[in-house]
Amino acid sequence: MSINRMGSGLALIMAGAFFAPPALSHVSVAPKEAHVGAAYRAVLRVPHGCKGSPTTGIRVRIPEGVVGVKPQPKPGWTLETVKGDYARSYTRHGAEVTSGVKEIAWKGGPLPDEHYDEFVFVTYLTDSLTAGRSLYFPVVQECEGGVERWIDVPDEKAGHGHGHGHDHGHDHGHGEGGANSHDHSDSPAPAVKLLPAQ
Amino acid sequence: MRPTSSIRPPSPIRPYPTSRLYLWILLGLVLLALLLASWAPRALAHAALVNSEPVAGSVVNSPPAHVTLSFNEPVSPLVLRLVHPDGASQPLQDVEAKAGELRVRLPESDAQGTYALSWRVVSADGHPVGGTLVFTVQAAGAGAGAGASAGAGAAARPASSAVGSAVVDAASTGASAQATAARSWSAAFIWLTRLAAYVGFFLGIGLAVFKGWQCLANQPYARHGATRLLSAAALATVLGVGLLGVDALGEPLSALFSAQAWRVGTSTSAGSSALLCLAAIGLAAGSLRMHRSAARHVTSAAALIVLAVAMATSGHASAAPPAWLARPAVALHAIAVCLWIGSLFPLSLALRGSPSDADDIGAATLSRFSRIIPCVLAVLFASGAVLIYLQFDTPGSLWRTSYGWVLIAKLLLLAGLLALAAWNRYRLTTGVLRAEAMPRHTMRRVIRAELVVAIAILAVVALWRFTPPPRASGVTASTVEHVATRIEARTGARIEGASAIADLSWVSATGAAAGELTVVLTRRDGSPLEAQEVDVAFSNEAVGIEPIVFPAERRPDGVWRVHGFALPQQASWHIRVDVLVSDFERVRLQGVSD
Repeated sequence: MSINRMGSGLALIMAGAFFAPPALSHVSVAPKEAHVGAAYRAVLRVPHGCKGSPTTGIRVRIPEGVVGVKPQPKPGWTLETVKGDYARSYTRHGAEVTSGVKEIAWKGGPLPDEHYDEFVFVTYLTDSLTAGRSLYFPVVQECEGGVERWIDVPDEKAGHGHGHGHDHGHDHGHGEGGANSHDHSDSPAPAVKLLPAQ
Repeated sequence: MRPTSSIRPPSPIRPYPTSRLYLWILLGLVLLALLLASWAPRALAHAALVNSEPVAGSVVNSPPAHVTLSFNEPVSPLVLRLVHPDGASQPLQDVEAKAGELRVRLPESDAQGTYALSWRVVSADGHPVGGTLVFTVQAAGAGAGAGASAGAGAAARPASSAVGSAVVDAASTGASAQATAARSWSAAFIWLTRLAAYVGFFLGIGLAVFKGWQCLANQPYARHGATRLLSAAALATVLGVGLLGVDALGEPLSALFSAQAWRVGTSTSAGSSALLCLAAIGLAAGSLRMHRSAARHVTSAAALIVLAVAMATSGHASAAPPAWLARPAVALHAIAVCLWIGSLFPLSLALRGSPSDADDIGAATLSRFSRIIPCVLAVLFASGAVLIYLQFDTPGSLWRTSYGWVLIAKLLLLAGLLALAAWNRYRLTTGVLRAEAMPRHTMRRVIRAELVVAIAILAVVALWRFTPPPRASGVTASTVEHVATRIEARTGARIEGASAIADLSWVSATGAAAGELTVVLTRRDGSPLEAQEVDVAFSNEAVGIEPIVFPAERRPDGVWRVHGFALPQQASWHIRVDVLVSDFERVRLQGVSD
C-alpha cells in the first residue's frame, strides 16, 4: 500500500474516532429515529438505578402529537396510565381522537443498579409533528433512594453550532458567561429524531 | 508533416519540499488540533458520591488530615484540587483508591474558613464525573450565632450581605498581595503574546493572501518576511494557550511547565480557537510555497477562512446573543481586517522599485488594491457596527465600562488610520499611477505610518481579553437564555431566563456566622413562580472547581433558602439554578457572578 493510501486510511480512522457514539449511561429511547405519520414502538432503556439505588418506578409523559398509546405490561410491575385531553383533535382510522393516554407509570421492581431492563410502549406519531426536529419523552425514574428526572429539553432557538466536539469548549471564566460546556444537561430527556412521512 | 517533438526539458530538481508534503503536514496539524481539542474531559453522569468524611457542608473544629470520598462503584481519580478559604487552589496528589473509596491526604493548613475539595473521577466504564465537597473549619469557642448576617429577611438583605462580604474580604486581603503581583505579570505576558499573535497572523496571512492573489512577482523578501511573521504568530499562539491555562488556574508563571495548565488552556474555547489559528498559519505558510496559482489561491483563501472561524470561536464578541449574528460578524470583521492591514506591508514592498523599472508592478498593484479596498472597508464597518450594537445594551456603557474605553481608544486610532488611508487615496494615488517618483516615496512612508497605527490598534484590541463586556451574556441549551449582572455592595446575582427570573443573594459561612443563600423565583411577568424543588449549583471550571450543589428548602413565604451555605472564596462563579416546576418540567437558569 502506498504511503498516500496509508495516510488517508489513517486520517479516516482518526476522523471516525471523533464520531464514536457515547456509551449507554442515560435512560434513552430506541429506535432513535421515527417517521412522522406512522406507528412507533418505543423502548425505554434503563441501564442504571438512581446513583446506584435500585429502580422502583418508571414514569413517562407522552408529548403532544403522539396518540394511540398502548404500554406493554411487565411481569412484577404494575402498570397505570393517566388519561387526559389532547391539545387538539387528531383523525385516526377515520375517527376523531381528542383524548388518550398522557402518562404511563410502571411501578414495582426493584431493578438493581447492576441490571438492565426495557419498558415498551407502542404509539402513533401523527402528521402534526414536524419532521427534522426531535421528539422528547420526559422520564421520571423513581428509586428506593431517590428520584432521577430525565426531563431536560434543549432550547431549540439557541444555537447549538459551536462546532467543537460534544460538551466541551468552556469559555474562560471572567465575564464571558461561559455557557458552552454547560449547554448539555446531565439528565437529558430521551429523544427521537423525526423523519419525514413515508 | 513532421511530428512535432514531444520531448520536454527535464523538470528541475527542487531543493525544497513539495506542496504535497506540506498538505500532509497541514492535515496532520489539523488532526492533532482536533485530537487536542477533544482531550478535554466531558461530563457524563454515572458514578455518584454516596458518602464522604467530613460530610458535605459540615463544620469541623480543625482542618482534617484526610478526606474520604465514597462512591457507589469503583472509581479512579483524575484530578483533585483543594481550594483554601482565601481562594488559592492547589492540586492534591496523595490519593489512595480502594474499592469505591478515595482517601485523599490534605496538606497541612491551619486557616479557618470554608474549604472546597473539587474532585473529578472516572468510573469503570470510562465516564468522568465531578463534584465538589465543601466543609468549614471553625475552631471550637469562636463566637457563633452573630445574628446580624444571618438575619435574612428580604428587606434586610442588602445590609446583611454588605456585612457578610466585608467580613469575607477582610479575611482574604492578607493572602492575596503576592497572588495579585503574579497575576499582573501573567496578564502582561498574555497581552504580549496576544499582540504578537495578532500582528503575526493578520500581517502574515494577509501577506500570503496578497501574494497568492496578486502575484507579488517572486519577491523572496516577501516570503521571508511572511515566514518570520507566521512563525512568530505560531509561537505566540502556542504560548498564549499555556498562559491562558496558567491564568485560569491562578498559578504563578512557573506553572507553564506543568501539564495541568496546558490541559486547562486547550480545554477553553480560546484554546480551541488558538488551535484553529495554528491551522490557518500552516495553510498560509503552505500557500507561500506553492507554484501553481490555482493552488495558491485555494490555500491562501482557506487560511483566511480558517482564521476567521478561529476568531469567531471564542472571545466576548462572538459570545453575545444572537449567536447566528455575532459569530459571522466577527468572522467577516476578521477577514476585512486581515485583507486591509495585511495588504499594507506587501503594498509597500510592491512600491519599492522605481517607476521606470521594466518589471515594476507598483502601479498595477496599487490600482488593483484601490479598486478592492472600498469593498473591504464597507464589510469592516458593517460588521463592526453590528458587533458594537450587540455588545452594548445602552450607550452609557460606552464610557462607564472599561470595555467601552477600549472601544473608544480603538475607534480613535481607527479614525487616525482612515485619515492616513484617505491621504494615500486622494492625494497620492493619482501621482503614483502616473509613474511619478515623489508621490511613490511619500506613499511608502505613509503606509509605514499606517502600519504603526494598525499595530497600535491591535495592541488596544488585545486588551479586550481582560475586560468583561457590558452585557455578560451567554446561551444555554436548556429552556433559557441568561443574563447576570453584579450589583455593587451585594453578593448576589439576578439570572433572567426566557420564562423565569431568579434573584439570588448569599452570605458565605465565616468563622462568626453560618452562611445562607436565598432564591426568589418569579415569572417574567412578575408573578411568583411556584416550584417543587430548587437546587443551586456553583462551579468555576477555569479554576477546576466542579459544581457544588446546594438543595434549597421552601420557606412559607415562597422564598427558597439554603441552610448552612458555605462557599469558598473565588473571583467569579458560574451559577446554575434548577427549578423543578412539575414532575416532568425543569427550568434551568444559568449565569455568572463576578
